[in-house]
Amino acid sequence: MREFKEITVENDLAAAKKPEELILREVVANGYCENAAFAIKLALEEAITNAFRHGNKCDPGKHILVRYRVTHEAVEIEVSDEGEGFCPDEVPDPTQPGFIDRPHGRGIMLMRAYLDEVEFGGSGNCVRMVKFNR
Amino acid sequence: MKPNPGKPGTHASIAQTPFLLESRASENGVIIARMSGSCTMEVAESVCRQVLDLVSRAERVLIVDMSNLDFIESMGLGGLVAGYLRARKQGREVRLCAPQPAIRELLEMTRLTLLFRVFDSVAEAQASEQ
Repeated sequence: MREFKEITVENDLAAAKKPEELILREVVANGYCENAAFAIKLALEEAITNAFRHGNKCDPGKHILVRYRVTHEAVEIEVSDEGEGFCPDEVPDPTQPGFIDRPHGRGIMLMRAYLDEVEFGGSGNCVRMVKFNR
Repeated sequence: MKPNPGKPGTHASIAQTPFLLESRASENGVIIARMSGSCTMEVAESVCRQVLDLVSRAERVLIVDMSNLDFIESMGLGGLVAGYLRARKQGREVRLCAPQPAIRELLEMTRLTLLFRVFDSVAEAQASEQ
């Protein structure tokens, strides 16, 4: 069983591209299709943006931890921040009438739509995501 | 709704192509904005500001040509929605055209196709009545 790799980056969206690049490089090397790679990139960007903005409140003194394992069978990613967490069930569905024209609030819905498993752990400050290679 | 599982491909969407937004004024108060590359998390906020600026400058319609856009995340989509809201308030319209299949799927999944009219080409978007 391959071990998880982990990388901690400063709470900065440009710095957070590093784990994204490393993960996507492995995704391509493991033969995932274009659409799966698109899905993983999208979910990862949503998770990191949430960690940066909502978890760490854009505080440059905080950090984002990304743990990941890429195999031929599945991509597993965990993104954690230093925030207080949140309750994902309280986030409204952005595809429902009254919410479609809101500029924000689509990140969690997109993670759930594009990946096979999405779970929020800890106090809600860690998201675990899985995409299977089909 | 789940996205199309797809087939092996060129992985253009993860190539980290730099994002570019170019615009030109057309006839009758129309501005055509051409998005290309990847609208990723670190540029999305700037994209939002640029879209709002373009909506303010377009007297009637802002046409967003997405034919060369290979990736957009939720903040970038939010920028388009912010543009839609400003345009609606000012009696104007934002029209989207020629999104690549993955981007079209994203627009449909988020139901943003209920807010925006999506055309197959810039010419069709220009020809359409308000």
